[in-house]
Amino acid sequence: MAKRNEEELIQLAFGEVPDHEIEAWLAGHRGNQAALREFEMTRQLKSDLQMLREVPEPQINFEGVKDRILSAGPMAAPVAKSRTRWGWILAPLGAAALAVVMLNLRPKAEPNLAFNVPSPSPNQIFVPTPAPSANGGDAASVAMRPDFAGAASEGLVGGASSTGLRAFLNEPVKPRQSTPERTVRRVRRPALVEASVPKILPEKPAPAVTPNVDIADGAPRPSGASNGFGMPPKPIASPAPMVASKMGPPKAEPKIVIIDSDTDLLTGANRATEVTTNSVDVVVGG
Amino acid sequence: MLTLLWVANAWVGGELPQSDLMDFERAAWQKIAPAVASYPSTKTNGLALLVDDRNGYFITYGEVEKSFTGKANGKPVTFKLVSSDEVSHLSLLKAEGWKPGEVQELKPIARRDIRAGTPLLVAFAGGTVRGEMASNGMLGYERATRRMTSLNELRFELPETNIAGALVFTRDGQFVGVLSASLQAAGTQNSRGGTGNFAGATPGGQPNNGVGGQSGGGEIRGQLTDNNAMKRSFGPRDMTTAYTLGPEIMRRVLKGFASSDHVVKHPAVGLFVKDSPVMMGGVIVQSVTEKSPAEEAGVHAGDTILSMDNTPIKTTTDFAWFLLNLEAGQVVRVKLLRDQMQVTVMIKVGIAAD
Repeated sequence: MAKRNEEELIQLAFGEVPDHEIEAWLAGHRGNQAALREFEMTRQLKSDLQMLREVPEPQINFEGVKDRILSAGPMAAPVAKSRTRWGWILAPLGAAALAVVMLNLRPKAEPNLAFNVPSPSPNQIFVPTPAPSANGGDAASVAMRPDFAGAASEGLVGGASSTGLRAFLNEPVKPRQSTPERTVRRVRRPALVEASVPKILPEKPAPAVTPNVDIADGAPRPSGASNGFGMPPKPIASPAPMVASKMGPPKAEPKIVIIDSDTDLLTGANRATEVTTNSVDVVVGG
Repeated sequence: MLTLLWVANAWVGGELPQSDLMDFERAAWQKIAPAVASYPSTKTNGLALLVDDRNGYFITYGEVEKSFTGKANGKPVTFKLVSSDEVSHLSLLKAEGWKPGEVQELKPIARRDIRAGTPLLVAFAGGTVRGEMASNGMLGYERATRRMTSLNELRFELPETNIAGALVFTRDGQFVGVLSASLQAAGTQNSRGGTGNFAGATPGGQPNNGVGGQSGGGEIRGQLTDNNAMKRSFGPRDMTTAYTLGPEIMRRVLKGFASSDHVVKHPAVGLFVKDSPVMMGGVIVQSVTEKSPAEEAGVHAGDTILSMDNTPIKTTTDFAWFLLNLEAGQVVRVKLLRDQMQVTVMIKVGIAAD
């Protein structure tokens, strides 16, 4: 009996019954303070549940909770939306973190190249040979020293280092003898060097030994290949001939040879004069 | 002159020393020399080249008599004129009583086999000198005929004799061409010892290396003006610049000579054009030859040629190179501008002799 009253009270408080029934119930219990108090507590519970933002509206409905959950639509969507939102936030963070990790690995790998060259030359690119220091000499710190930085810079500009670079890149990279704690830190680096650098860099054109000459004005200009920015080299003025695959307009030779009918007394051949094509106003044909 | 001709007859076949050739150059020449014949000439070098051993055909430069005697493969021979080509100024000769199989005929070189810097051997009546290809892509304009032609430009040491009709070979025995013109600087006079097309010694008495000292010789190809290289390769004699017909023209001539009628069929359409006043705006037809393919196709003087077979014709140079590549019988689609209207005509390429 008490349970039935309790259920009735909840139905009233949660609005599961029509309004006139609620008014009739209140009128019938107007003097029953305990019942009214219970009714108010139940209604307050509903209000409290409605204030919980994470609780779906259907869960507040006492009678329709089960059916509405089973209908699923409104329940699954908020979960998926939440995951998507977090994904948008986490994905860039993850990428940024990965980039930071890669950037931290990269500058430390190049100094290792220097240490792994058996017979380095001062002119070789990336092959400064550091003097052994008392504390073991961190590779990165050696590369940043002014004297070796200068050597590396000279190697980048001077063409003589290209041979050294190629020879160096063909050298097998050996693991460096180091202390146990360093070994732990450098385990991955030789693998990084062997897997990437030798396979890619040898295919690049060697830096030019002499300064490139611009075809247009003939002025010496620094080679693009040796500018240290990985730019492709400017075309070098080549002694290659003006050869056409077929008979074609001489693209780089805007000259025309005018052959006169009279002969040169000295050579016995027809006299010829070179003129630029834009300087002649002749009628040609055939 | 008689002495000179006798000397010319004597050296052919490698009997006389060839200038200042190196041993390997002389050895190369020894393989070429049997194919070179000589004959008395007052206008040219009097040299002829064997081009068809089976039939005993030779080619030579310049006008020749219908029948004359000379020397080939070390033996006296009678040459008879078979055909002449007015465009190339080459003639086809037949050696009477020629016995095939004794001498290796020489083939003309292809464009792909020659380029600037290719070492050459230039054969004159007075001997053989070394030369070098300067350019194989020059465009020549013959003022008398108003015809354009392709040219090889080469440089070589100044010989003691005239150069017209000199034969040019590569060191591996390929025939490059026949010298037909020599370079003269614009505005200079033609006289020995003056500022002709041969340079004298450079200032300071140094031998002319052909680079900066060719004061009267016009401009030399820039890609060959490596001063040190030229000093090593040439000199101490002066250098000069001369021209042969381009390889395609030479092949066309030989193909025509080898045909049944021995006639060279140079392509012609009957059009004479000049550059448009508008920069790169096509070429304007100045005249159309009567009864020519162009006239039959309906081309008029005053038309502007815009393209030929979809190849843009912006200048007379474009027109000339296109014309040089044509073959007789070919049909060309020509796009014209006439009275602000575009007109397209089809021209069947004819033969220059027509």
